[in-house]
Formats: sequence, structure tokens, C-alpha cells
Amino acid sequence: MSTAKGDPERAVDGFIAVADLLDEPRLARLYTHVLQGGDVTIDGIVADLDIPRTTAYSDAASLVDLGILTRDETQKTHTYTALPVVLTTILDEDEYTITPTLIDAIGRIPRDQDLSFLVEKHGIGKLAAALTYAIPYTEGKMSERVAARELDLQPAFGIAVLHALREVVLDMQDHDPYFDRIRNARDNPPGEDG
Amino acid sequence: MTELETTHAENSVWIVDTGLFIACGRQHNDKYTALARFAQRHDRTFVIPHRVYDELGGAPDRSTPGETPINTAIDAGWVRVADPLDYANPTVATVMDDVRGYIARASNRDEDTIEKADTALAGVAGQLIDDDEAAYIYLVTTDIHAGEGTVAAVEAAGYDGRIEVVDGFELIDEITS
Repeated sequence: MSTAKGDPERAVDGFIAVADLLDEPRLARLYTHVLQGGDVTIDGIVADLDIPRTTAYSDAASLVDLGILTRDETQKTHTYTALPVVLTTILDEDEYTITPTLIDAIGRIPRDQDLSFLVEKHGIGKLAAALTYAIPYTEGKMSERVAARELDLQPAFGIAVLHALREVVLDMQDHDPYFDRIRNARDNPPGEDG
Repeated sequence: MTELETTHAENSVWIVDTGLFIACGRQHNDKYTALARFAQRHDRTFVIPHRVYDELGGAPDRSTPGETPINTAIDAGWVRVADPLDYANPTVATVMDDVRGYIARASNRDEDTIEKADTALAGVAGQLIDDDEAAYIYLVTTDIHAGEGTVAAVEAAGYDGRIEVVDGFELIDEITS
């Protein structure tokens, strides 16, 4: 991937890479694992994520092809490193910055009953919106029921989603270099139509 | 928690918020068994506002709160639903109003966006203390705002030193470690 500033090819390739992560929790989980772990080997991935070796190889290769993992082949045992992604989408007046924290949440969907149900019923967009509440909630600056109501979720289910995303926030706030760029619903409540 | 127990054991009441049951049930629901054991070992009955009972009962079936066996807990005797709130009691009304303002300020929202039902925990706490049904209250919640706001409001109503917040996540860590 070129690093030239203003490179349209890089921008569009990056968009496609992020879209693939959003669409495939298995890739998102692997990506987040490598991001958190630093230099990671296939053996480490297989052991930590409990996935088949063939899947680890093919998924890691997919992420290398997408330009968001790099593979160091200078040593006998190859190691993988993740490049932090950040993508700001603007649609009309609505803006959202996708960072590795949202990717981590995506990666948890298949193993988390509440996130899985949220996305099944309301889509990935609702998950992204809920994350903007989970950040101030985890910091003790947003009440559970205020968040649930503004997200238009049944109160107890909304609280369950906040609890799920609280774990994401606690895990990612030190690993996501773009964490501060995620929208914060305490300061910027979504619009009525948003 | 052992320390808390011995400090205010006599006529203390545990009021428990929706979030504690959810945090117990998420991912590995063996934590729920640990909570039941904790209550029974200390001969405690957790009191939940009616609002909390309604929230758990109204959750989607396939979500964590929808699977919370709250009725089983009530039948087993370690959870009970609080008496209806007496809004004519000035302490109850004042405490609930105060908490509403607190939550609004803390969440950076207008007070009119906070619903009265959001302050049910505070109402139950105020009522139990004002009616002399509790000498001391432990308020277990995963909502820092709700907890801190309730303590501030109950103390402002003249019951200083009679209530404290127990962080629900920390309680679970403690009883499952």
C-alpha cells in the first residue's frame, strides 16, 4: 500500500479493507488479535483464537492482501503485524470515524449473544452508534437508561449491549491509536434521524 | 464484601439494579449461581424496584436479560420486588427529583429527557429509609450515575451516612474469584 498523501488508490483500497472487516467477524477478530499482540505467529494465532491452522493461514493471507497486516518473512518463523485502520465516512450531514475499536466489536459478534442479537435486528450501524455511548458509559459519564433510550433499545437489552461494549472499550482504549477520534455521544448526541 | 457485612449488618438492605443481573448472566451464567449463593450465605434478600422487574421481564427472549431467571430467584426467596413507591411521601418525591437532575447533568442532557422511571432506585432507597425499614442501604448497580446520584440525593434528604454504592462489576468479580 502506498503511503503517498492524497493517494486515491490507497484511500479506496483502505475503504475496501475496512468494509471487509466490517462484513466478516472472523477476519475482524484475527485483525484485532494481531493488533493487540504485536508480532504474532501463526502458532500464536491458532493457540489464542482456537481456530484451525488452515483458517489462520488463509485469513492472515487475506488480511495481508488487503494491506492491513504485514508479514515479516526475514525470520524462519514468519510474524504478522497489524496496521491500525482509521476511516471517516461522511454521508450528507452524518459522519462517523471507524477505528480498530469498532473492528474489535465486530469480531466479537459470533461469540456474544447480545451483540449478535443487536446486529441481527438492527445492523452494524446500530452497533457503531452504541459504541459512541459505551465510551462515555465506561468512563462513568453516561447513564445506562439515557443511552438505551436514545439508542431506541429496550432498557435491559440496551444495558446488556453497553456491558458488552464496555469490555471492548476497556480492551481497546490502550491498543487503538485512534480511540480519541471515535464519536462520543455524551458531547455529540446523534440527530433524530441519525 | 465481608467487611461491608460486618460494618452495617443490622437491618441493612441491599437494593439491586437491572445491570447486576445482566452482568451476572452475560457470557457465562454461572455467575448467576454465585450471586444466589452470596445472597443465601449472608441471609440476604435483594430488593429490586418494580421498574427493574419490568425491564428484565420485557427484554427480548434471546438476549442476556431475557434469559435472566428472575422469577426463579423471587420464588427461591433471595430476590423480592419492592413495595409500590409512595409519591405522596415528600422524601421519596424529593429524592427522585434530585436524582433526575443529577443524571441529566452527569450525562450532559436536559432534565426533561430523563424519565421519572429512571429514578426508581432512588425512590425505593428513600422510601425504605424514611419508613424505617432499613437502617442502612447497599445500592448495587452497574450505572455509576444512578448510584452516585442516589447516594447524593438520599444524603441531601437528611440521611447522611446511611447509604453506599456497591459497584456491580466489582461485586461479581469478588464473588466469582
